[in-house]
Amino acid sequence: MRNYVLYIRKCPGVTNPRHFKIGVAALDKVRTRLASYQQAVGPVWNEEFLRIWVGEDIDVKEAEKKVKYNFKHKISSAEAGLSEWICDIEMDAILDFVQELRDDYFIKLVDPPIEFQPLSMPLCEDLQEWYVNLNERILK
Amino acid sequence: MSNALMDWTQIAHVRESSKKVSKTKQKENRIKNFLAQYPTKFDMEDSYIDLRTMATNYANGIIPSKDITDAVNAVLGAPVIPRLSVDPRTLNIPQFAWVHIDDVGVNPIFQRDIAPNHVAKIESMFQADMIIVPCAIKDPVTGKFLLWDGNHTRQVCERMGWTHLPVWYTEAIIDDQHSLTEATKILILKAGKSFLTINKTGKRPCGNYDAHMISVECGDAEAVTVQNIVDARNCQVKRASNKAGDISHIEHLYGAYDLVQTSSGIKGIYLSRSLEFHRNTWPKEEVRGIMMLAMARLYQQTELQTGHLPPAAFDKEFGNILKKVYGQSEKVHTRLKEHFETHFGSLGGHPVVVTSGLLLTYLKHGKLFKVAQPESIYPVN
Repeated sequence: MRNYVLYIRKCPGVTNPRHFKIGVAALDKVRTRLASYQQAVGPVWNEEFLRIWVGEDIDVKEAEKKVKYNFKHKISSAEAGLSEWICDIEMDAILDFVQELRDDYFIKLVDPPIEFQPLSMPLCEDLQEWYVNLNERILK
Repeated sequence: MSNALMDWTQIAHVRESSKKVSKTKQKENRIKNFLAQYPTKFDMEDSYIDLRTMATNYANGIIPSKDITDAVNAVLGAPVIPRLSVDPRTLNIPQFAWVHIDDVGVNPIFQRDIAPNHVAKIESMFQADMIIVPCAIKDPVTGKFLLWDGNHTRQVCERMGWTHLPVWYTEAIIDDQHSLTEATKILILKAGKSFLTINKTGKRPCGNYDAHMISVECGDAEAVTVQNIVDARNCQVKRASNKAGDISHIEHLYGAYDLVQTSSGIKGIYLSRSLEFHRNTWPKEEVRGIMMLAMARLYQQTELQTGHLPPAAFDKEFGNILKKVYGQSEKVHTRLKEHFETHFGSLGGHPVVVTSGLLLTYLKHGKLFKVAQPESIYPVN
């Protein structure tokens, strides 16, 4: 079992986004994932994940699958690089569905504290520490 | 100057290539355009085109051959040879004949050994109007029809007393360029290749989903019973499961159905109960095959060992335990398998592992009902 992050990101530099990419990354690799996106945009823009949830691998991966399936009609192309973008939509619609996954599908996702939302590069290590501490508290 | 010109040429090329539509996009567009003519949309993938849903667009439920071809062309792209441009009857191959059974033979160079047990199997299902016509080459030396496909069919026909065998056959071309020996060699090579293509490379076995759907629609009693149970529990059999109540694991569906109630000798009782449990516990989730089978086994074993099926209150209590301890149905069986593997070092048969894990979970967290003893014991959450 490994801990994962479910994330939503937007196109870099867009202020009122209507297109969102949903994705997953291992919790201990989330910084590397952000770095890959940062690499693509360079120093003119700080890459970040707008919203994140943390959970066990199976929950996070299932949530990603379900989100993509639910918004299939909003994914405009299966073309490489485009198949993960949910287009022309309010982010609230995605957030509502993620909530539905928790309430009605019993997929266990944890909301990190507000200081980790959005998640930028400098916060990644703190996020990992927070989740480890949270699990330790639950185990006690 | 020339460097600057080269740069502009390169930039122009990049711009031009960015306008190019990729093959993936072209396929997407073809499929989109093709589907636009149908009020009821259907899945069109490389691996399958959903003909059952496509047929609902036709008043009589019959899809014309041309429309299926157009659908396949939308996926693959237009064929090199235009439709209806070749009359195969002018090619003179293959030819059809009713051949006297004594004129039929086998050249083991391009035939596998005969399996009497396979002959017995197809003999028990033999119906004169249901045979597939065997294929052969006509040996230019002996004049015999040498089968490269349908040898077991020939055997059954012969054991059924048939005097003649229907045969599709091809003949050697003997002309100025091909001697008898050369022509025979070419024919044998063709027969060998055909045998391998039919029996190995080109074989597309009928999947469990297709077998179930065909059996239901053709009125097979057992398949109809299974389908009725599925319908009654507000589930649906699908090739791939995505939506609430979808069942795609047909092997486990029939596995759960086949569990017989000892007291009544009836099949299907535990499948029905298991589906009810799954739908009530995870109403928005697809039905996970292994959970469906494992819960059916849990009910069967519990009834056998305690003398009665657990009541509806058990379902509610146990469903809540599973959702609290694990969450979604997919996670229940995945984690149980992991626990088993961690404890024993390797994974056992999934139905036993998951059924035992479910029983162990109830024995650990449940309070109200007596259940069966697990077949295998390992630590669970």
